[in-house]
Amino acid sequence: MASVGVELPALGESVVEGTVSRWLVKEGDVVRVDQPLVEVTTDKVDAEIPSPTAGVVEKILVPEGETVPVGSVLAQIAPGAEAAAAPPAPVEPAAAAAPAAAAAAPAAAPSAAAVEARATPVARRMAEDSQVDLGDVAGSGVSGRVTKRDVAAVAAPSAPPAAAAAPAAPRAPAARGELPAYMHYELQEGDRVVPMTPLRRIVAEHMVLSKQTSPHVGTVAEVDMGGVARFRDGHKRAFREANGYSLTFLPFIVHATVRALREYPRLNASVVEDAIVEKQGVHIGVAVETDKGLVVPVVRHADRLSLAGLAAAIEDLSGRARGKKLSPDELRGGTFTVSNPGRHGNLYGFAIINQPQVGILRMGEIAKRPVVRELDGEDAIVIRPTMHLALSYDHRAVDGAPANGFLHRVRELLEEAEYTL
Amino acid sequence: MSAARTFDLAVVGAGPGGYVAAIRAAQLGMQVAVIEEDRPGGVCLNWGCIPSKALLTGAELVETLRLHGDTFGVTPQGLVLDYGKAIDHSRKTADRLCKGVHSLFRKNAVTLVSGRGRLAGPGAVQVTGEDAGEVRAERILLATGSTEWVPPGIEVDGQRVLTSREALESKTVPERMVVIGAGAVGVEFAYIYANYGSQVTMIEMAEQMLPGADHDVAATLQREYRRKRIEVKTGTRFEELKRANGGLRVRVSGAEEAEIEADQVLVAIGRRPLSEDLGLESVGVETDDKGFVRVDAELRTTAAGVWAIGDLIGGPLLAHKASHEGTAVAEWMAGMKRPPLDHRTIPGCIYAQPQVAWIGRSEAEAREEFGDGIRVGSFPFTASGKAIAAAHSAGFVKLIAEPRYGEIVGAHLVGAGATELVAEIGLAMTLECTTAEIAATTHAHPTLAEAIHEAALLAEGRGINF
Repeated sequence: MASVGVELPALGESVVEGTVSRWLVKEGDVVRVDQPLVEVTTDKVDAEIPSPTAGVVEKILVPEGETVPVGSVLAQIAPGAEAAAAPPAPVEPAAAAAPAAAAAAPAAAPSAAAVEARATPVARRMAEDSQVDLGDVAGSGVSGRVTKRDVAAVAAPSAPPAAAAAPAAPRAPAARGELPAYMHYELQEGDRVVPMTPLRRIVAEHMVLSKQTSPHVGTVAEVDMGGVARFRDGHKRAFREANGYSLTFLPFIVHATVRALREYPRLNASVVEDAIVEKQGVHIGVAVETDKGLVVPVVRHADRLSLAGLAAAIEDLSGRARGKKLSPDELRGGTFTVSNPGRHGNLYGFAIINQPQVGILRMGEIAKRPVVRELDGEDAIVIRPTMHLALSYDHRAVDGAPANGFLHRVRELLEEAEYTL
Repeated sequence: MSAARTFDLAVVGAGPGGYVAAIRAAQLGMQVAVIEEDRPGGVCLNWGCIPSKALLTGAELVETLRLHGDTFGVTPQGLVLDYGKAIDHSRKTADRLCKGVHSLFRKNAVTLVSGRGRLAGPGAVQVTGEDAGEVRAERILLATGSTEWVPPGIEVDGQRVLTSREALESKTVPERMVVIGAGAVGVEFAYIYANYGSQVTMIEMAEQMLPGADHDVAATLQREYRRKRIEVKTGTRFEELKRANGGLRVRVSGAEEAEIEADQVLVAIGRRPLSEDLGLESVGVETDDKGFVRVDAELRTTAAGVWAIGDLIGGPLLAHKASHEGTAVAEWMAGMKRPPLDHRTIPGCIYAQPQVAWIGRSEAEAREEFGDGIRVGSFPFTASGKAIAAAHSAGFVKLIAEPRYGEIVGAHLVGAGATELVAEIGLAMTLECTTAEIAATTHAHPTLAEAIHEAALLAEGRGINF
């Protein structure tokens, strides 16, 4: 019987490669179906890759410490009855043995599946163009047929199918290599060359793609954070004692954001081909700075959470993001993003939209600033903690009126500052 | 029926959307009630698509004998036209198909509740009329459809001023007929009346017949209609309908300021959704400003447990769109996984001669979306052996493919058989085919369908017969 290749599955939406950190088996070992074979680390998650079949480890192809792109064959398993030590597990179809971690892509599908995959003619041509293995694509068409949408989703998660110009070939950010001469830089003595980490490259690609895809427009609100600060000050200590972590400003911002999103569903949307899809679920990506770069875990159904619930979810996700303990699912499916650059966020700034969403809110530094208030019928300069909230939105989907209305509503909710813990 | 009866699904409206949804839901194991105040089959079967096709067949026969009888050596001596008989045949056709829907309901154990249904709070439909009472169901599907829209200032009397509804029962043919609106309904009735002997004038506000259709299609149709001596006034706005001395005068503005004399006027401007007096507010079903019920991608309304399909939710107001949505909504209700709806692959068809059919994007839309690199293959029926032999050489088949993969993104057909031919393109688009797959398919010779094959070859720059 032909040996079965163990491929590196796509362990997350934008994971393009992984490093073999440790082999748990050696050549000649007898393995059961689903037995962990190898530990792989990526920038977002660490995972064990299970055996797609029962059999004998014929050959290990990627040594420990080496980094290879998604889809690379890590080892060959010879399936068969030699698996004497194991219960006589029948050789299951590869798809059934796909590891749970790789929900979107049956990881270890033998390449024969690609040949047999039911796919539409356009999907086939697209897959060829973008070097996608059809066997790795879950079909959403009639009888599970792979359609162009399915290939587009795998090839370039955020590009609309018609404009899927960026091939999925992992290492080539869209524009590199096509730069005009004046944009080239000749290295000078003393320059320090810092190779991009895989995460950096992914971020770079996403940024370029997002700017190419969405016409960004910005709008800024100045928010009086007095009410929020007062509430937070009043509960800070008790909260910390009860929960073991601090109540930060971020959950307050997310709290106001999700409520405003429900009133302005156009901001909780995606552009899909020539339609705007307003999403029922409100899942908020929270940008977290880690020592390796930016990660955006998602608070699912954030509109169903109370302030305390949001605080707990954010604490949990950001803690695990820093420890690289997030599962791929926790990085997917956001419908809107809130970015908190932290203490040194400066006055305000416009973030780049996290595709395929249509809006992102960026918090500015919260600082005491002089503002004019009417006190007893007279204008007076008073000192208030204020924050500038900047919304970047995709003008393809959102016009100025709803965008401004949404941001204004976020501000109102923050200034009303009505909370229970 | 007095006490409330409980079902898994209550469908309000038994048109081509509602009855199909009911049958599909029953197939999937639901207990289904369909509430209908008129006859099952809806406008389509009783007062639209089907009976009008019966009349069009008669009109086509008249035209064939008049224009081509001599060509084939068939010269009728004193052609006698009795339009009343055509109307009788069209009513019999509708009756027969209506009985067919009844028997399909019986076969699938769908309960037909006769009366008018209105939502009466969550999970409840209040029925007035023959089977008055309450129907309760966990799921409710609204499929009440649409009706003719008549602009204010026009009074439809069923004698001199008609909509398609009255026209389908009116057994006389006026000497002078004015048709207001050159959409599908206007175009078909103009053809019927013109062939049964009326002097027909069409008025259309847009710059072309069939507003929204591909420009070449509209231009060809307009040319053919003028050949039939149907006067088509595009860019002309209806202003006022005056009644004088037993006759009618239609005042128009725009391309021409005039008063057109008529014995009958057919109003075919458009349709409006039947969303009023449905009790929508009782559960919070929202509509848009035109009255169409708002739904999400899986046809859920803004109220939990209530879905809506067909003309009631807008989009192309077509029976086959409603039926397709009916199947889909039943499957979604049953928790089945199925591909999303794709409104791009819904064909539009006009059944006069020459027939018109289209699917997907117009050439202008494709150009806007994919740029000037789109591939267009246009094959005229004047180069088709079958069309010439049948003396039906007007029209063409135009295929539009996007530049990157050659995927077919639109097709526009004018000519005999167009409404049947478009099915091939529908399948091709559903399967995301490119012009290469059509080109690689052997089409029988001689057929009209060869025109599609040739158009695909032309789009690839390798036409043989043109």
